[in-house]
Amino acid sequence: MIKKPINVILDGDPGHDDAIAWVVAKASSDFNILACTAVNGNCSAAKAAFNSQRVCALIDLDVPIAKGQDKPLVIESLKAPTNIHGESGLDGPELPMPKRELEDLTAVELMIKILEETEEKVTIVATGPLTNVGALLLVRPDLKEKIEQISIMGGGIKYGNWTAAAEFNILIDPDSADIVFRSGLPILMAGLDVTEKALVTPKDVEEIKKINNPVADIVWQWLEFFYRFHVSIGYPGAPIHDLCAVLVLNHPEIFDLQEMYVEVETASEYCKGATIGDINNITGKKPNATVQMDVDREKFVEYMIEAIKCYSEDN
Amino acid sequence: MKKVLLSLEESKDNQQLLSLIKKQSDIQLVDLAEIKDDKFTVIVNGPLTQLADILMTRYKLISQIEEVLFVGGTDAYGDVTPVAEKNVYADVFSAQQVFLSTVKIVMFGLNVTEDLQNRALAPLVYLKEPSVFVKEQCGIYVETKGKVTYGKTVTDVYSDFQFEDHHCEIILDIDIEKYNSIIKTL
Repeated sequence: MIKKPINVILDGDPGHDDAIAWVVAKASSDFNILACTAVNGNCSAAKAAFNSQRVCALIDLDVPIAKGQDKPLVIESLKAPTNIHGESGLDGPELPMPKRELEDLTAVELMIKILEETEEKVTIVATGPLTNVGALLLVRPDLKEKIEQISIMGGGIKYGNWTAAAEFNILIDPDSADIVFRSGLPILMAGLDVTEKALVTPKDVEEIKKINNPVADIVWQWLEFFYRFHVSIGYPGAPIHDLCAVLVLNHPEIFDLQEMYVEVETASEYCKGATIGDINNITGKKPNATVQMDVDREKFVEYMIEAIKCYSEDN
Repeated sequence: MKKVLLSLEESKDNQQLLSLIKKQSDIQLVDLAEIKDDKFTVIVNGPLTQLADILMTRYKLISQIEEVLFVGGTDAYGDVTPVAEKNVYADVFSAQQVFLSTVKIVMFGLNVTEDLQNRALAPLVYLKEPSVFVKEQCGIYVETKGKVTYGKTVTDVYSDFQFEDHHCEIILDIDIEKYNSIIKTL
């Protein structure tokens, strides 16, 4: 039996781990990618859009690409950090120049167009702040019926990274995240609980170096760039956060999944942008999210390497 | 001789703590009214209301407090709300007063006390044998303005120690076997 591919819109702020997530999604016949939309986050929306175009050129992904708005929905944007992804938002190896122009539509308009035209439901994979998705749900709540689920990388049930309680993607735009978690749509959440366990080690990078195809050559250099920062703050490798949001769709069995009610803190002194998960069901509220709490790291890396091998010509 | 000031809410568990402390020859209970220049340790198992009141009114005592052994709070998950623990939630503002002060607080939170028969005894075991506990110096503050996070003890122990001030200690693990064997000797 041939499994029907999952229709996806890839929404992110590439970003090394967004880019790797897209590389893996494109390689798999499990996914039918309909569009890429860029969001302000790791870098400006403009840089994220340009990086999206270049990543699409690299992996030969010929789908419409659109740029999102320059700031979060309500609050002002925090200054994008440059120590993790570099000045361009995707520093490291030189990427091919764009093959396809950006759409004249904004990211939200492109999402609306795709959802209006589709007859099958679409999954949104959102690996940056949730500004585009939040805006979409605010403007066109009627299109919810076309959305299968939203698979996000963001938040953390137990702790944060950018502040003690909040993770970067949610902290950048907590109001959009709040809209998404309250939407009633199924949410798959890859927070820091799982993504900091989704580590690629220097040994794994050596494996990828050996693959020897144009995509592998870029990916190992991205990884080297990306783990330089993480090793400097004490990690044994680089957490490929965003890839969790893709792999949970076609390989859910490698994750520890827990259903719970998750709420975003939008007004707070220390916890703004925190994703509060009612892991022990104290409130009695019905779960609105399936949260990844752990991952089989070996399998995670295996699927990633398998995908990168697909870009070899003899494959 | 260790001087100890107790701030306990009425409960069976705290009764047991009190009677065990009275049996200890190396611990002397002190009365707030009679404290002079001596250094002392404070044990709190209950809301932090009384301690906050002391810090606000008798602030000369602050320098005499060696440490506050607080049974309450949590590193992540709560018992009253998804993130707030009972003793903190009962008086969030007093709790924040205490954590904002310069006093050293050792927090025996839900993350470790959940597995104990009687969590009230943890500070006493700590005074007897601190090596039973794994702890980490960190910053802890109490959220008083959050919609969802009201009453959460926010710690930076898992997030790169990013608060500026680290005058608290959080208990991260307990050697339960050792803990139980010490309780038998009390």
